[in-house]
Amino acid sequence: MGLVDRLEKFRMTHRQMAILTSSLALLTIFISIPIPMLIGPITRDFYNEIQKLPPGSVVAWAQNCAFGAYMTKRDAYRAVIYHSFDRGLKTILYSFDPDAPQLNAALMAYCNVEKKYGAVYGRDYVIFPFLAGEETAMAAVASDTRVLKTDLFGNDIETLPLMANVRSMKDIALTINDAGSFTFVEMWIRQWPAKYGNRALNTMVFATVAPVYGVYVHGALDGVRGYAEYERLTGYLGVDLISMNARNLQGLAVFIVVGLGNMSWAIARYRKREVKVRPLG
Amino acid sequence: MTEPTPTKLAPAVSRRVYQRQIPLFIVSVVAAIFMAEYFTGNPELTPPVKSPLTPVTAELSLWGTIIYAFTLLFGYVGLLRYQARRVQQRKTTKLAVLGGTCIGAAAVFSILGIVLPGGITGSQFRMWYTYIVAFAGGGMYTAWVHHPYNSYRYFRLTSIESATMFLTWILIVLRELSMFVAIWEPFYAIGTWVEGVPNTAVQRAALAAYAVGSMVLALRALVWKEPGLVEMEMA
Repeated sequence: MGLVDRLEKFRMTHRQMAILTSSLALLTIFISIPIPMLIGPITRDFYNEIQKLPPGSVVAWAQNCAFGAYMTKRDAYRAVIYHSFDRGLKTILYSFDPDAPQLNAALMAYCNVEKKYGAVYGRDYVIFPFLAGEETAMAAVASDTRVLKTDLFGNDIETLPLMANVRSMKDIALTINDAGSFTFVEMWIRQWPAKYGNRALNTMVFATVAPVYGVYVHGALDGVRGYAEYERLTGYLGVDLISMNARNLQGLAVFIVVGLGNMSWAIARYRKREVKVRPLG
Repeated sequence: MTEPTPTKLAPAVSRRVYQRQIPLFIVSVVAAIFMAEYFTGNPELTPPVKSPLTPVTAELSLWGTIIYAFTLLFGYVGLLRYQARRVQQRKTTKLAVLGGTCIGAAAVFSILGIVLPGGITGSQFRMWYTYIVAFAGGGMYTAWVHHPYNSYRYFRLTSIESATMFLTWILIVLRELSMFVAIWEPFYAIGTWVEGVPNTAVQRAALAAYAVGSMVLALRALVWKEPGLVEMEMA
């Protein structure tokens, strides 16, 4: 059988694809491939927005992510928190997903800012419990932070020094959002930065905020690549740099497979044969 | 002499009233309060003018959370009831299904047992989340591992439309993979341009379509031309 005939007969099932991509991902655990990485302008924007805030400014993070997703973002979040604390910023973590209170608590425990920066809960950062209502909840908190009477641990909001001068979103210098769905990002844009004019950063994907980039959103971490770039930029290295290696290998493999699939289809078409590919399932 | 056929008594309150009219009335009142609050206060002024309705909307937001919690509870109880009934009736004899059902139901009670002593901020619950939920949740994403199959299946140069989608995919992926950017840096800017310009144009057009569609839907609902889900279910 010649090469062209072999190419024509090339087929792949979804199971084979799963085995191929997971094998390549596993490979990167054992083999590290140092590939140079360009730090893009969107990640630089993200970095600069935090960098230019005066110490003592308050950052509000609207968290809409589920806990499972947190595991794929933990080190990038840590880099954001460390960068903020390096700059002397105060952080308020809001929870608009039922998982978010645990996520925020786990993140701050992971960062351990008390040990690293001598930070004090209530003075340097605060975590709020879940507030249902999605967009309504975001709007309510933005217009009056006292909608939430207590923090996650049941402390009265009036006893938290950080919240003393934060009455509404007007008192917040910068907002950050992450979400499991782009609709949450749109809600956040409508109710926080678009309404109150805060500077805003997003840690989901750039495509979601691209239509309002530079208007309402001023920096983004674009998925794993953005996280890896930011980790390298801040020096707080994490697992995303390894993930980029896996993505490089997987991406290259998928490119080759897609190319072979097209060649197979083109040869069969030239020979006027019907191409049958197994459907999903 | 034949016995009279028993007549079925009509319910005192029809489904239409408690499934549609009452919820619609509640939603309308709550929405009206929120809208009135927006127009009666002005946070832009110095000092900001607070609406007299703000405490009401704050209370309503709090009640939103409480109702949400009970809705979740209702959902969980319903799920448990369904699982228990499935085991009881043994509609399936597959051990894997029945075992999974039992494990799922037992897990709910185990988690309740973990949460009850210290609440959601207690160390037990936090440990459960950090060391079990986090990794199980992360593991769920491995189900996505076969997704690139769709790229292989659908990215074919069979028509102008599919070729356009294929080209867009290539340009984005070239930007996403640092190895290609390391070879030729402009791949980064090209991918960002695709997301920043054509993607923005499409998203804005879609948004305009949503907006017009929502307004038409709202107007139809106002004049009772839009039946809604409950009405369609009852039809």
